[in-house]
Amino acid sequence: MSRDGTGWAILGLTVRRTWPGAVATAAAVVLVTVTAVVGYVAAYPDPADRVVLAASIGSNPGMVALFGEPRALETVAGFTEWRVLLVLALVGGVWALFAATRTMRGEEDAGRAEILLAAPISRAGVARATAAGLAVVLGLLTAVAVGGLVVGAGRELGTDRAALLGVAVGGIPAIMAGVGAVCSQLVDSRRRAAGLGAIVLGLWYVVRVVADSTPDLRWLRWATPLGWLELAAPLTAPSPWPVALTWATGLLLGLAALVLSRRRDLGAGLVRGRDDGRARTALLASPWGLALRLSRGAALAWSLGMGTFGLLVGLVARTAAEAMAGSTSGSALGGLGIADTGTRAYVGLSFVLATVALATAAAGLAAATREEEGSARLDTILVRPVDRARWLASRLLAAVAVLVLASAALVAGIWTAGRVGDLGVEAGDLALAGVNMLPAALLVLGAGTLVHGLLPRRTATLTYGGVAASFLLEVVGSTVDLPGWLLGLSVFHHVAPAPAVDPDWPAALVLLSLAVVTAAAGAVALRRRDVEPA
Amino acid sequence: MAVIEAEGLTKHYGAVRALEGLDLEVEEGDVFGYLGPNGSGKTTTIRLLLGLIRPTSGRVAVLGGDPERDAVSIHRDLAYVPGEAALWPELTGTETLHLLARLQGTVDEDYRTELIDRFELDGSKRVRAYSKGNRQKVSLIAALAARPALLVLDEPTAGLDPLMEQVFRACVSEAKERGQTVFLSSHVLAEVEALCDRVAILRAGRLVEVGSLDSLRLGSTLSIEATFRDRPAPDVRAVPGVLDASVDGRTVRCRVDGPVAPLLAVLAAAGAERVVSREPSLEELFLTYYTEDDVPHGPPSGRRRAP
Repeated sequence: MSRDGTGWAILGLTVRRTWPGAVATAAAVVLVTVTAVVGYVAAYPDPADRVVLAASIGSNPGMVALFGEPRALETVAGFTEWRVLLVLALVGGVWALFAATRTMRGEEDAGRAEILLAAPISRAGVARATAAGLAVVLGLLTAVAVGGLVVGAGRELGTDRAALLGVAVGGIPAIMAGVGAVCSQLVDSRRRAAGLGAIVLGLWYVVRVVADSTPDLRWLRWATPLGWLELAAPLTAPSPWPVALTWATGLLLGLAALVLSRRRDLGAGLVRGRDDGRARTALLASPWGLALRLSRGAALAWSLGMGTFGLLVGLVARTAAEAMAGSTSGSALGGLGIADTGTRAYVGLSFVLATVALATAAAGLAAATREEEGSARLDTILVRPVDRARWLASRLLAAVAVLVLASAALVAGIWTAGRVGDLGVEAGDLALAGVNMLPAALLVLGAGTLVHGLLPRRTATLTYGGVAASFLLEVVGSTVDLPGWLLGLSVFHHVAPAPAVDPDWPAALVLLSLAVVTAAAGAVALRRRDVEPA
Repeated sequence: MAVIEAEGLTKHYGAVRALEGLDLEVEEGDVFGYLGPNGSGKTTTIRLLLGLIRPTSGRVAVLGGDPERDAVSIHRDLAYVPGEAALWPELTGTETLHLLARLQGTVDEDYRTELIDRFELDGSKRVRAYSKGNRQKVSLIAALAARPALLVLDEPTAGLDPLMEQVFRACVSEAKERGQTVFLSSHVLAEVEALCDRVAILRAGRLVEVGSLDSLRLGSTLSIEATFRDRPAPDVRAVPGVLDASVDGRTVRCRVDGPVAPLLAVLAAAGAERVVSREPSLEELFLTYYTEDDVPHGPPSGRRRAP
C-alpha cells in the first residue's frame, strides 16, 4: 500500500465494484439452504418416507455422481447438505472467478490500468490493493452467509453447524478468486483468464464425480476443493480442517498471483502465445467469417468441456445401470422434482445440468458480442459498408453454431461412453435430448441480445444474472412449493429432463419463438440507438 | 459540390451539450482542418458524420446522403481513421488489412503494398504485439489504400514517430492531388498548417471560427516589433488598434488589431530603425481562441469573422 492512500483508494474501488455481487451470492446461499430445510420438513414429515428416500437416492450412483455422496438423508441436516453444498459452491465459485478476473485483469483490457498506474503507486501495489479488496468482499460474503444461515436455519441445523456451512461454502469463492487472480497473470486478457479458471473449476468437478463414483476412489476427494467440501461435511460430520484447507489455499493462490504479477509486463501474460503467424485469411472476408473466426476459441472450449462431461455421464450411467439392475425402489421422490431414480432419470438430470452450462455459454456469447462494441471494434466494422443488423446477425449465427456444437459434443460424449456398456438409452433419444437443450440456451442468447440493444453496458451483468437467477429458482423450486408463475420465470423450468421423459416440444417451441422475438427486438433497438463504446 | 453539409447539427448527452448548432460545409477536394480543445465536440461531430450516433436535432449530409439511413452506401466511398484504432488482438497485421479491405469492398492492392513499405509495417505480427503507433499504421494503411472519396481522420497521427508523421503528410498530400476530400481533426497544429486549406475551430460544442488559414490570419492580430537606434521609443499605447504594448529599452513590442497604418505612421514619425511584423502562427491563433474564457460565440473583440 502506498503512503498517501492510493492503495486504499484502489481497495475501496475494488470493494465498491464487487460487493453487490457478493451480497447477492450470500443471499442465494441463505435462500437455497433455508428453502431446502423447509421443503424437506414439509414434504417428508413421516420418518418412514425419509428412510425410503434415503435408500433410493443413496443407491443411485448417478445421483451420487452429480450431487455428491449423501449422508444421513433421513435427517434434515443430511438432506440439506447433500442438496445444497455443491450447487452453492459452484454458483459462488463462478461469481468469484468473474469478480477476480474483472478486477485483476479487466482494468488492463480496458486500458484503464495506465490511469491507476499514473498515480503514485507501483503495479505490484495496485495488484496488492485489488487483492486486498477482493479479500474484504469474500469476508463480507461469508459473514452475510453465516449470519443468514444461523438466523434462518440455526434452529433446525444447529447454530455451529449452520455457521460452519457458511464458512465452508465461502471457501470455494475464496479459492476461485485465487484461481482467477493467478489466471489473470498467466494469460493476456480477462476473457482468457476467466476461461482458464472455468476449465480449472470444471476439472475439479470432474475429479469429484470420479471420486464419488466408486468407494475405491474416495481418496481422490483430496485432489479437488469440491471434494474437500464433502470431507468437511459441515452439517452431518463437521470437520473444520478441510474448510481451513480451502481458505488457506485461496490465500496461497492470492499470494502466488501477487508474486507472478511482478514478473509480467502490463497488458501481457506470463504465458504468451506466438506473436507472429502466417496469415490465414480464408474466413476473413465478411462480418460472418470474422464472427466465426472469433468464435473458434469458445467453440473449442465449450465442445471439449461438454464432450468430457458427456463421457463422464456415460461412464457413470453404465455403472449406475449395472448397480440398479433389478432394483425397483424410487417412487418416494415425487416431491423433489426427481421422478425416477433409474439410469434414464440420471441421464435426464445430467442433460438439465448441461443445459444450465449451455445457457451460461449463451450468456457469455451475448456478452462477447457487446464487448465488440464496448472495445470500439464495432466502430471499425460499422464505418465500412456493413449494416448493423447484418453484423449482429453474423454474431448470432456464430453463437448458435457454438451452442449447437457444444450440445452435439455432449451427446457424442454420452453416446461414446454408453456404447461400451448397456446404457438403456437409444442414440436417437440422446440426440433429441441434445436438441431439447437448445431452445433454453437460445432464449438466453436472444434475451442477452435484447439487453445489448436496450442497456448495452449491462449486458454481461443482466444476462449472466438472469441465468443464475433461473438456476437458483429451479433449485429452490425443487424443494419447496413455489407458485407456478414464479417457477415459470425460470427458463430451465420449461426444459423437460429428456431422455428421462419425452421432450416437451410445445414448450420448446415457445422458448424458441421467444428467442427469435427477443433477438429481433434487440436488433431493432441496436439500430435505433447510438453506438456506445465503453 | 459539398461533401459534408451540416445545419444546426446538435448532440446532447443528457444534460451535456456535446455539440450545439453546428453549421459546416466541406467542399469536394478540400483538406479541412477541424480544431478544438479536448471535449469541444470534435469526436462527437465525427461520430455523427459516420452515422454511429444520431443527432439530437439538426441535419447533416455526407456525400449527399443521410449518415444513418444511407450508412452502407456512404461508407463505400468513405474511410475513417480513429485516434486509437480498435482492432482484434488475435489477428496479425496482414490478416487485419485483408479483413478491412474485404469489409470495405474496394482496395488498391498495389498502393497498399506501397503503403506497407513506406510505413515500414511488419504484417506478420499479431495486433496484440503491436505498439500503439503500429496499430495506428494498420488503420491508416487500410483507410488510405481504399482510395475513398472522403477520408475522415480523427487525430490520426497519435503515436506515430516524426518520420512516420512525414510519411502520413505525404500520403494526405497525394490524396489531395487525386481530388480526395480530407476531414482532419488534429491537435498537431503544424500538421494542420501544412496540410489544410480551410480550418474550423470548435469550442465547448460550438463553432467559433471557420475559414481559410489566410482569412483567419487576416482577421487576427499582427505582432509588431520596432527598434530605435538613438532616439527614445515612442509611447504607442494610445494608437488605435494597439494591444499589449511594452517598451524594453529601445524596442517596442505590441500587437495590432485591424489596420496597421496608424501605428506605422507613429513609428515612422518617431524614426524607427527597424520594424518587424509577424503573422500569428496557427498555434497562436488557436491559443487566442482557447484561452479567452468568456467568449462563448465568435471571435474576441474587434475581430472580423472570416468569410
